[in-house]
Amino acid sequence: MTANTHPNANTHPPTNMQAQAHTNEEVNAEVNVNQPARPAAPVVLEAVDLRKSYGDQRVLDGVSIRVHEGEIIGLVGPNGAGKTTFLECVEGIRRPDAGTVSVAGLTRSAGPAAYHLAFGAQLQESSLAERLRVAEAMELFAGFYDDPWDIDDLLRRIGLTDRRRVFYRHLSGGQKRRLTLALALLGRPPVLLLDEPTTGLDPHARLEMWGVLEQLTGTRTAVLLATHDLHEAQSRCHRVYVLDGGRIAAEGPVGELLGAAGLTTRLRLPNRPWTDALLRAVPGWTTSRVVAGTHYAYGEDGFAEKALAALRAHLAGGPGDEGQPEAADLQQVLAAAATGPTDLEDLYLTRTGTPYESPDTPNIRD
Amino acid sequence: MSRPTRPTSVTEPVTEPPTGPLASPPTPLTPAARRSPRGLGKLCRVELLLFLREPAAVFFTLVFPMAMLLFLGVAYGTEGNDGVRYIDEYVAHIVVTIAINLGVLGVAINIAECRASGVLRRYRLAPVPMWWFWFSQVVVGLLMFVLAVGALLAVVGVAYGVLLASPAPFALAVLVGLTFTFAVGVLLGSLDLPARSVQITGTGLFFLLFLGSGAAIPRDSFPGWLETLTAFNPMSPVIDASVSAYLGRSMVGELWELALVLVAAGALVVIARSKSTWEGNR
Repeated sequence: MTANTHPNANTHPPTNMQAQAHTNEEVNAEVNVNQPARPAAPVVLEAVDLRKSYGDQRVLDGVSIRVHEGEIIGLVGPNGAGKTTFLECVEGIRRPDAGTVSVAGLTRSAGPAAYHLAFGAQLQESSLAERLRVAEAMELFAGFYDDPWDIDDLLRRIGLTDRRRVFYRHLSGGQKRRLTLALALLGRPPVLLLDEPTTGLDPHARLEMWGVLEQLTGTRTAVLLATHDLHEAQSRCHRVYVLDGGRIAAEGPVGELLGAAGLTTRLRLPNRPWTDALLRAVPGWTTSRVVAGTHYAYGEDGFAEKALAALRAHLAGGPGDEGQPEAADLQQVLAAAATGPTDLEDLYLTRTGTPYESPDTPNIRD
Repeated sequence: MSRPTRPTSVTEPVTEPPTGPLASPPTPLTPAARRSPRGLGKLCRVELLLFLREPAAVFFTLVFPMAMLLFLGVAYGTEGNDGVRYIDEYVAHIVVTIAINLGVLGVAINIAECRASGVLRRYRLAPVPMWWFWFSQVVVGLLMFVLAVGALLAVVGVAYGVLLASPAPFALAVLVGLTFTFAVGVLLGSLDLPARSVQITGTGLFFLLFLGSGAAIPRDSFPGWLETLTAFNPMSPVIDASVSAYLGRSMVGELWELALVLVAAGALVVIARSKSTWEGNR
């Protein structure tokens, strides 16, 4: 795991994987792929040292992922981190430049048609013929398998029984997603690959989708999903892989990752020229990020309270030397400061080169 | 084994999906389902349904050739030359025109549009080999061809009477024409081109094969140089042979040219196979 545990406030831990200049071997050595949510469960998907470039642009740089039976695994990372390319390499849509992938014991060498029996996939962008009815689509795709899921049962479970005679083009976005999920499940695959399955769905449709997914996959189907929804990844996934710049930046259960990285508490306050130096000096500080004029400081248990106390002490101490905060400014910052527990978003923020950085207030790079 | 616990609480869905024992639970560790050959038949059936649900495609395949024949028939149908009615020559021409339309335009554009819209991408992730999709397009094209020619001959039969003096040679000539035009369509559809480019290229090829083979205006009315030039059009021997067969004349002279057209069609399929792409690399 690539946690930046850093209890010492006087030295600065790395906050960005790209800035750490790790070699691929080091990165892979840090990726702990030996901690399944259910240790005895067999591995159903294994990608080892996948590399892929488009021209000069390296999109995957030695990515290794292991998924066990029954696990729901989240793949998160900024746009362009390589999530979709990784999934496409697993699905056989793209051929990796190097590395191996096996799904349910099958590799691409089994031939595309046989390999595609090993998993069901819901793509970020795919479609069906506009004038194809729901039931016709189900019957068509069921016809590709020898022993498919019962269509009526599946339609009932995805809540599309009353839409079975409706053309694909007349379905809502959520219904289209549910239909494509059902198509992915028709062959009763041991592995499901989902690329942003709930993007663009309203909260109701999103919850419906998850309800359907969790019920339909049962207890043995493994799910690997790429998502931008960090709340979803944290609440639904047993483990997450944080992908950044084509490398695994962190891997594990979210709670463990946060604890190991020393990201237990968060203090959010307006950024000032003096906030960085002041917060670094607070015991328990581990890392900071500045995003769009807001300073996010992270630390171990009690850090936020100590930081607020330090700010108040500065205020009580009166005007300081040049470069020190003015009282009015300090009061303003204190009034706007907020503390709270950390979540996957904080891990993401500190582990990836986030695209939300303000050009005026570049990230703190330790 | 129990399901592993999640790191945080899981929000319950607002709408509870149906519960109860799973009729076909997704439990296998290795793929339980195997590819079924029945899928090919289902794919052909669905593709035929989709074709019939496209009003423009149905119109231009079934109605337009008939309308063209009746239009020409009203103007010149019963006139003739050397004892041959123009309408009898037109019938063979229009039958071949239907083949060009279905192959070069229908097959090519449908494949390209399916690729552009992401339909092929969906098929790609099912256990479907690419040739299944090609095959379904050809089957649908052939069925529509039979339907269109049947309707055409029925109308001609009522209005003018069907001559069709040598059915087997006529069928052979038309089959060669179909093979070539469908090979062109599959090749064009398989190339990594945007749907619009395929449409424009297909339209150009359609007119080249349609006008340049004498399907619209008999080649013997062309200037000498143009008649010589259009002799190299792969559809010219198809037109000549099918007209000869329809009128009951010998088509032996065109047989070796038909064989060459078949070889060319085979070459196009081989190229298509090497160039074919589910979704392109653009």
